[in-house]
Amino acid sequence: MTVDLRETHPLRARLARAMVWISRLPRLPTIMLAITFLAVLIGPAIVPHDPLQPNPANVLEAPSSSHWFGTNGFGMDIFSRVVAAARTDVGVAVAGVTVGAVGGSILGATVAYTGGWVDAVVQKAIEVLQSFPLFLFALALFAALGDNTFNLVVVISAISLPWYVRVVRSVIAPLREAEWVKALQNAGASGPRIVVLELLPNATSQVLGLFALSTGLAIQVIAALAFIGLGVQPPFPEWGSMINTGAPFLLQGAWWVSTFPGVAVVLVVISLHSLSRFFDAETRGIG
Amino acid sequence: MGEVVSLSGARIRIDRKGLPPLYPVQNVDLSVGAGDRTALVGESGCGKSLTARLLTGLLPRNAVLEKGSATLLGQFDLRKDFPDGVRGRRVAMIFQDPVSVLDPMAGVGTQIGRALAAAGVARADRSRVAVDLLGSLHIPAPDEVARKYPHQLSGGMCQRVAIAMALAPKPDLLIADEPTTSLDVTTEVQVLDLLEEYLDSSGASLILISHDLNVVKRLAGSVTVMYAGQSVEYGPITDILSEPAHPYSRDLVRSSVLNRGESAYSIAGTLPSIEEVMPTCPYRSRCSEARSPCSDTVLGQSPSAGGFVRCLFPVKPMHGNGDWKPE
Amino acid sequence: MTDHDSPTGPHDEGMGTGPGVASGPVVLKVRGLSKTYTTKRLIGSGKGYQALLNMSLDLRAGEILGVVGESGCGKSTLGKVIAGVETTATGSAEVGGQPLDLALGTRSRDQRRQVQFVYQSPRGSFNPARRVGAALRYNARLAREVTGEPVEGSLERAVTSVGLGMQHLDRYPHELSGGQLQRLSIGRALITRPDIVFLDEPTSSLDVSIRGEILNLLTGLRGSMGLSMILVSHDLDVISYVADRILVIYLGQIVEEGTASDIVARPAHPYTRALLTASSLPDPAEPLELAVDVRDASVVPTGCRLAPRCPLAEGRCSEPQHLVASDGRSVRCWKAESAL
Repeated sequence: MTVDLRETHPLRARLARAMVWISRLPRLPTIMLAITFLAVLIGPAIVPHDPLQPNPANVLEAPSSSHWFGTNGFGMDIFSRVVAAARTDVGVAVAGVTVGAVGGSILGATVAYTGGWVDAVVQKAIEVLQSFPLFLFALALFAALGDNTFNLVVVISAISLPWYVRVVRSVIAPLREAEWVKALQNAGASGPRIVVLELLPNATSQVLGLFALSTGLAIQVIAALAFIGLGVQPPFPEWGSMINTGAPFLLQGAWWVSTFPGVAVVLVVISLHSLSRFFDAETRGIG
Repeated sequence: MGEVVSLSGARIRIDRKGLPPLYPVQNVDLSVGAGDRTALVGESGCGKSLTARLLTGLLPRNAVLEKGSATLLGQFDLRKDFPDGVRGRRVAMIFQDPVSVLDPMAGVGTQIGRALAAAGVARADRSRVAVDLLGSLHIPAPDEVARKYPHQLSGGMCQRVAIAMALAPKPDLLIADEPTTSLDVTTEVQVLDLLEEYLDSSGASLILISHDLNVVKRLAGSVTVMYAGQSVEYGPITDILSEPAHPYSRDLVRSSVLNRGESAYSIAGTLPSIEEVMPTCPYRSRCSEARSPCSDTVLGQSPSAGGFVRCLFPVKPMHGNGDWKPE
Repeated sequence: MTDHDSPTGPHDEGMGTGPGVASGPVVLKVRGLSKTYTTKRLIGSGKGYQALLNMSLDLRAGEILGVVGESGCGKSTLGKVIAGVETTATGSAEVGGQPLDLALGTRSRDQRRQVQFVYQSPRGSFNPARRVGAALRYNARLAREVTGEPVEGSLERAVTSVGLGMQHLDRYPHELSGGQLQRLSIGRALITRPDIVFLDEPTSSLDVSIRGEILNLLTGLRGSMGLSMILVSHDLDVISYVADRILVIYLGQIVEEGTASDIVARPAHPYTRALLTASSLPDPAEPLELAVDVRDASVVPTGCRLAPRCPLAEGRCSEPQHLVASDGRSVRCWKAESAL
């Protein structure tokens, strides 16, 4: 009897492969991001204190068993605020990056499939946009649009969109002449169908890698804007503004006010970064 | 010098980060004497090209010779670093795609000159020797061709130039990996004739790697048949074509012959996975001769003087018995 | 134009009447097919390269027509023009008596249904990121639009006829072997109940051990459903095994035509003789090897296109030569006419 490994239970094989793949994800970053994700989902509901509740009796209290990360200048619990801020920072970043990723991927795949002058014009436009320093571009756009959370999402999607256009375009463009694309055209598949259903799935791993990378960058931009007083305003919990408001207390020895939100930003961004490097290596077949 | 190449039980492992390693070459024996013309025959995935890369020190970085011994030119142990000054001088290669081997920015004469420089030909003589070399490959108007660039030449002509470069240092061993696969059939014959002419005049050894028995037949005296990383049969080309001993050799020969009006032969099933070393016969899942002992053991037998087959139930009478291996 | 074959030339008589050849009605009639590629230049217009030069052919119902030639001879272009994929050409073509559009992207659904094309590489014909069933469903929808056959019905009919099952449609390409993918690729063409299937080198990217499987499938399809096929290959072994009639092409021109057994037994054109000499088939009575190809690919001789490589070439070979037909055979060579 012929034993053909490829013949047996494709579903089970696929599931097994998925498990192998998950087990290969870098462990620490994945755990860190899972915790962050949990904080975004249910963080505000489970924190020990109300993150917005000032307590004049407990101002600048050092970390203790009742206030794990201490309290800030208004006596608010910093642990609760760091957890609650995940929803603001990660939430706005993911929302903005998602819009940019979806729009950018579709645009990138479309121009790659269309080719010709459309492709050339879009490529040039992207190059011009990307020639501005990222943070200055975000700052200028934010200033022009006006200071509110919705516009923060708009700014994040605007700065992430060009990356997706670029990456997806470069992955899809060589496929334009592939025999399977020709075969689909001959069978009468419409252009939008080919772009969205057939071509885009080929860029999945690149888009995932870029998603992790750009979410990390977006968090940095959001925190940096808040640090200089734009975007999310105190006392609403947000890592960047928490670092800023804590800065004067550093001289008084109250290191915990700025440090904990700072560590949160660094950990989340590094985790996203290493995840994106994993995807990147995956794509290039390294390892 | 006795043996030009000697591989015994060679196994190559390819490491992959976070995934089980691959064993594309699991158990390969190969012995090439001075002046021998031998071929490695097998289908895609049998490990023949990786074996050639081992012999030329061009294994991928994540690949190692894990087991077995490999000696090149009777003196270099390939388990260590590949020796300097051997590749491209004493061991030359011809690849499948000549266009990717040639430098698109340099004239043909210049490129052959570079190969001659590596072979130690004086600068003043190089252009003349290059033209002579092209002429010896029956290229009409060799001085004109020497001035051309690769894109101005046909695929067959590019392969001739690549052969000229490979032969420039007068190598002792020529490794040709599918040298005619990318060429037209009418050109293929001519290129094979050229290789034969060089071998006749120089007495160099040849390892021809091919999936095509018709090509092998034209050039090689002996054949090693490979399947799933193992050398399953070795013998004179005439024996293997007319009376193969290993069931896989037989099936391969059968499927390469098409007789009008008769049903075409094909081998059912697929190659086994190379994620693990297969201790027994890799062909048994597709083999018509397979019986229960095949899943326990594999036996080396000798179908003819000097021949070798790795099979418990060969499809022709054996010359000698026992676990015999070429030296 | 260097060729003077008239559309109603010698092709119309005596074709496909040799022994063992399907004598059904003509399903595809091609006349005077020409295709010139123009290379783009920065300044001025580029040189035209004639990939197809005034080609005429007939394909009868239930027949496998083999087209043999070397790389760049135009055999794939011929298929792509007839199948209406990738390129546009001049000339005329009829399928079942109805004219077939030769311009790219202008065919009606029914015309697209009638002529199907099978690409060379089984791996390259399927999207690596999608299940293979997705690719076949496009053709099934095309079939439904034209014939009303339900999608699942036509899919099942097609995969069964190539010896696979519906479960194979849920696989990704990397989960299938090359042979299985090639079967599916042929199955995809069968979904629309085509009149003609054009196969571009269907076995050349497969291992020899599974080549027979595909060849048997093709001859089986001809027998069981009377499928008419044009099969293009560089491999005379394959063509002579599977085809009823053979068309030999050199640099965009038909140089010889006849029944498969006849061409193999007594090749007339020097190029056919050289192909046979180089193949693993028994050598022809007069073996022939061509001279080294030194031509600049962009310069095409005005007369016989083989003349620069032909050992038999003489003065008059620089003049244009017609395709001369007699008794089911045609050949384009001054020297070979007498051989017919």
